[in-house]
Amino acid sequence: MKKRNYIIMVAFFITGILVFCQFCRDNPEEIVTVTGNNTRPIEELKRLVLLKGDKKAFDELMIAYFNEQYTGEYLFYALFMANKYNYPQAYFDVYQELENLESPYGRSIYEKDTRGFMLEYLKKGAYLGHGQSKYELGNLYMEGKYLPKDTVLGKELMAGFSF
Amino acid sequence: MIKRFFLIASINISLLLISLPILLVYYNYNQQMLDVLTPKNEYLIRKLKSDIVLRYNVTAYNRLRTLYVYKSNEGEFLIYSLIIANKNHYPQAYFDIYHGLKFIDNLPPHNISNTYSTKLMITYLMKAVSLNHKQSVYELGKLYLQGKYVSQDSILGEKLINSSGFLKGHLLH
Repeated sequence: MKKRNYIIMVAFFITGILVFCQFCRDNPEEIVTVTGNNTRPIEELKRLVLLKGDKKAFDELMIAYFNEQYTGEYLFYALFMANKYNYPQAYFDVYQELENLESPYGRSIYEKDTRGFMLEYLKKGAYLGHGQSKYELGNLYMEGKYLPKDTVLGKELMAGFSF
Repeated sequence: MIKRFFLIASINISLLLISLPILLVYYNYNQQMLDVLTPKNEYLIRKLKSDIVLRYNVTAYNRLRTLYVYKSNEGEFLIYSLIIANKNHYPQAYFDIYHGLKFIDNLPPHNISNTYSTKLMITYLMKAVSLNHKQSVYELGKLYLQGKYVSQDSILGEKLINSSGFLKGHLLH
């Protein structure tokens, strides 16, 4: 009888420890990074952008970043391509990334310096003839958002570009 | 029967009480292992990033910063510096924006700079200086001495370097 009690006690004790250990354990989610189009790994795309200024890899990297939790890191590559290769899409992407980062807050989070910086990149994209930049800039002029309202200039910029 | 039940229960409780310190040590050890910031600790990295983006947490920012310093693509950290600088006006984040933009500027192809980036870089370095961030004071002094990004002014450069508290010549390349 005593032996049976002893076995029950040990069983209870071990179960208690197992439950406690399971409670303490933290199982972080496994993270698998894949590119959006499943062609090239994201690290290879980053390398091609930084070493060769590969515009195709840069465009592909943007798609790859859709799978990343914090897409804002793409800003670094956009700035690099804009500053070093004067790539119109990259100018737009700098603006877009900063704008996207702000949108979840539903209010302005930027100081005037950062705001001015992102608008300069958008303007440069538009100046280089990038359609999406022109449309976005036109839209800002139409709404008078961040820029003085100018519907004539806004319409002019938006003309000839549609989604 | 009841007596036996109470006996078993009391023995179990005593055993648990005795083993509690051991279990707590094990739990703390587990937590510490989880908090070790390495490039492979994706769980912690994600948590830090989320604390920065959603809560503008400066402590999380500083922890993540230590990791990015050793990353080959350290420029990816720029976005977090922008968030913390804009929201918290944190001097180190202002300096990090300068550092991030300079990092891009120093990448090949060389001798190609962007005026908007340079302007923002210097603006934020100045802001960090105005908040008495020593490293920024030193860096600005260095730029004045070299005449890089700002017009050369050796006197001001010397003055800033001396006031930064860094030894003259230390880190000055």
